[in-house]
Amino acid sequence: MGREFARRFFRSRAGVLGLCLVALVIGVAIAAPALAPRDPHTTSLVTKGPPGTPGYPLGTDDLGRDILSGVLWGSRASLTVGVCAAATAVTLGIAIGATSGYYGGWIDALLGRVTELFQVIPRFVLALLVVALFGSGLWKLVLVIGILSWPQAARVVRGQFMALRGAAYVDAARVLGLRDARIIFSEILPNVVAPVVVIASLDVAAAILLEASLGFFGLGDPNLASWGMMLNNAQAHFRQAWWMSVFPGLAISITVLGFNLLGDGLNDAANPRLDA
Amino acid sequence: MRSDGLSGAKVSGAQAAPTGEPLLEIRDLYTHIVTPRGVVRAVDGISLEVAQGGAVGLVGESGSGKSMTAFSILRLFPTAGARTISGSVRLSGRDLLRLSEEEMRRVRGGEVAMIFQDPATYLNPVLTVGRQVAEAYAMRSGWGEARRSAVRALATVGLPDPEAVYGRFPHELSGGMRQRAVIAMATVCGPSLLIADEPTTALDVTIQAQILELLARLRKELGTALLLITHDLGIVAETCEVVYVMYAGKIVESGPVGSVLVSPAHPYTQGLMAGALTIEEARPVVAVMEGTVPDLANLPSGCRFHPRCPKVMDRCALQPPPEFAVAEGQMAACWLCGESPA
Amino acid sequence: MTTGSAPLWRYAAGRLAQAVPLLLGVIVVNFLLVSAAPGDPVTTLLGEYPAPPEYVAQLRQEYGLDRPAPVRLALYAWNVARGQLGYSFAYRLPVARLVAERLGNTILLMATALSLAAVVGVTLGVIAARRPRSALDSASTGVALAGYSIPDFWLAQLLVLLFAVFLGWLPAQGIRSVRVEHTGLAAALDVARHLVLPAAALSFRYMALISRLTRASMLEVMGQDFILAARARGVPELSVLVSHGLRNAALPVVTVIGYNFAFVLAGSALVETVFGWPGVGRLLYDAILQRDTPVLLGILVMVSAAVVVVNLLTDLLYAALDPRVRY
Repeated sequence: MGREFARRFFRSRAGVLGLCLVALVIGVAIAAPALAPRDPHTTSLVTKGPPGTPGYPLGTDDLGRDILSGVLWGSRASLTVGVCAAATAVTLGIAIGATSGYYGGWIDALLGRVTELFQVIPRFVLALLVVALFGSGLWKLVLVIGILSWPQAARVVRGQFMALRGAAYVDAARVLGLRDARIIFSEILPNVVAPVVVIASLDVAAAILLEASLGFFGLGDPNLASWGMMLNNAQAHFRQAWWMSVFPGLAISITVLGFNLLGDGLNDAANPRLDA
Repeated sequence: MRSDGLSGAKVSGAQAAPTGEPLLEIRDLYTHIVTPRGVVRAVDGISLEVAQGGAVGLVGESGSGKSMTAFSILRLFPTAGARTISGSVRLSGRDLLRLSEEEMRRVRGGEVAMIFQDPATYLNPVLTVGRQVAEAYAMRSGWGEARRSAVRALATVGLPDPEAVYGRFPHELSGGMRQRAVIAMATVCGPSLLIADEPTTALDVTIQAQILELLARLRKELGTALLLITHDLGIVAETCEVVYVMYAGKIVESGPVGSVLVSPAHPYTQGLMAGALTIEEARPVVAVMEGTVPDLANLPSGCRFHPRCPKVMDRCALQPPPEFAVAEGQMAACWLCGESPA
Repeated sequence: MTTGSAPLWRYAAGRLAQAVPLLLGVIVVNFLLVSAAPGDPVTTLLGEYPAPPEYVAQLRQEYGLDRPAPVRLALYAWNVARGQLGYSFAYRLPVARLVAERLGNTILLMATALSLAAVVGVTLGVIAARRPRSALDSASTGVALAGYSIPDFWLAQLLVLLFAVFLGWLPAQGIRSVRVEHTGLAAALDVARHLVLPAAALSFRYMALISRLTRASMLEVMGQDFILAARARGVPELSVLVSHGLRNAALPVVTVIGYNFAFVLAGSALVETVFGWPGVGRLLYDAILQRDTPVLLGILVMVSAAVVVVNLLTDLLYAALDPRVRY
């Protein structure tokens, strides 16, 4: 199964391209201190220098900070928030979806309503309010985005559990007297790995976009270079200095595209279609 | 239209007593489907005739290519990759395979109409029944006239309160009513040929009889010829004058219903009959025979039936048998029936 | 209404009954947030704007801030229910009025963007589904991936750069020209010119979503038996495509457009900020800058309620389009 999955995945051009982009961004994030020509927060007298200004290949912002260094360092905030928030969301989603699907009945009904509630409240507005009330910071962002993003994973896991709850081998495990936890973790959960991995990848993309949106509203972690905050800063100046907007936005788009493509590729590998 | 008077299984079919030009004349038709596994030879050189106002049965197991024959007539295929390679399909002398797409579209529904196995899936769930019945007519004469014709067609197929049925959605009708509505859709423009592909298989027994009665009545009232595709020899005996038995893309036996069903010459037909005699009419006949239709992408050599044939001889695996005349109008493609071609 | 179908209003009543607990849930979440926020709840309810002490006292009484939690929740729910969404000291206006004043502009922007997304998205999806795996299909896949991945507020900045700054074709800011007074048709045209870029920026993501969905949906529907049956009756191809294909394929698309309303709203907040569009989103941005929490709370409640209502309308529209649902 694992090898077959990998073979199918590597046959999809989109998936491989996504994997390459994601690897590129992760590489940049790890090597940012070595790659970045200067500190992203250090101001200079070269304000709004266009790309190609000596020493500043992508130009500088209104305070003379290096755009290239900002873009390189910014990958760290985006990836950290994206990956950790998606992990939080998926963990919550599995826990809630598994409970709901395995036990059914009133537990399922109750959790169903909660899931619905979380899908009704606009994630972005709620995140804004939470950050505004409780303050910002990297781990707060992770938590807020993670807690607001679990419903999709929960729905998929619940569906799988509902379908497998009555399967013969699960009944057999129950007859053998296995405990619920044991059945959930070792009998059913392995079956939901594939769809959950797909959702996790797409969740990372969504979380990075949400983090960037919050940053654009000025609610990112004030101590970290982030693409969203760079775009927030650019908002007042980009008409005179297009490079302040273009490069950070490009960085977000490429990263999000990478995770979306990766998710699509994983999805195609997990659910092979019959055509061709 | 003189053959109109001939009806019932006792009388020899139109083919046996040719009276002028047949309505439909298929010659050496080949329809193949290109699939990733290879070329499926679904229809592999068949010839078939339907007289004006006649009733012809095309019998075979599922996968024998009988539905593909029907789709070839309409030049419309449910599967991508299906294509008619060669042959001719003449309707009143005109070769349908040579018509332009636009001319062909006018033939569909107008001159040749088709009804299908499962009325539930062949009806658009979000449009009213009446709208779908009227549609084919409306393209030819506008909606006002089409609406009146549709209501009339719904009445003709025996639906009570056709005005009300016109406004219903498919899911609001019972299975039998739906099939009547599908038949109304097919007959609203008064086609000269009606192709019915397993029209009763999805229905329960009592409804089956009603639908067959309806088809017979429409034939008489509208003068529409019927090409009935089925796996059920009982239905053929009741409804048709002439029968063609199809196996793995080829016609293995044909002739008047009275001869073929009374004294079948081909071991395959004999097998079908043996099954038909031992089980209830309504049940699929073919289930009692051993084995299944061969993979049409990977056919056996010689006679395609030889791996399943109880009377198989050495030469069957080597040489495909030609058609031999066995009786008045009856042909069979089997080495048991003669030494040299008819 | 056709005979035999359950009437639409009964279905609507049932769906409405399901929406009420959701609205209550929204209020409870809001209440919990305010209660859990660090610091004095008065500050949370007022924002960091100086307020007269008599208003603070009134607030304490109105929200029962010194009473037990269940009472506070009930009072909060009651205040929301009668449209009392708080008071903004930054604007010196009730929040409900602030939002109401800007709602029209936001709805104009969202409606334009969604219509654009629906028309372009459905067309692209149908074209792509006609010839899957063709060059056109691949191109539309590429466009869709870009739509999913590009942040709408960045796209907004790019559009301003290209069409307003470099080409100078369209205005980059606001909803109408400030220097010239337009009236009548000229005024409408002026607004339309200002609407083009923000609507385009906002619609891109949904256009991508709708085109992908329409494509998948059309591919499935066009393989159905009833399509074959329609062709077998000689129905012209355009009619097969539209009244049989799209008429069915549109059903999931309607649902997704409706259920994505919340995301369009969020996108609209970001895009309004880039273009200085005087709508609810811009108000949201200003409220954050000014730490005007009552506005944030009020907008969250109103927007959540709007989402519940739009989801409800979506389900009703779906039921109207698909006669099977009413069973």
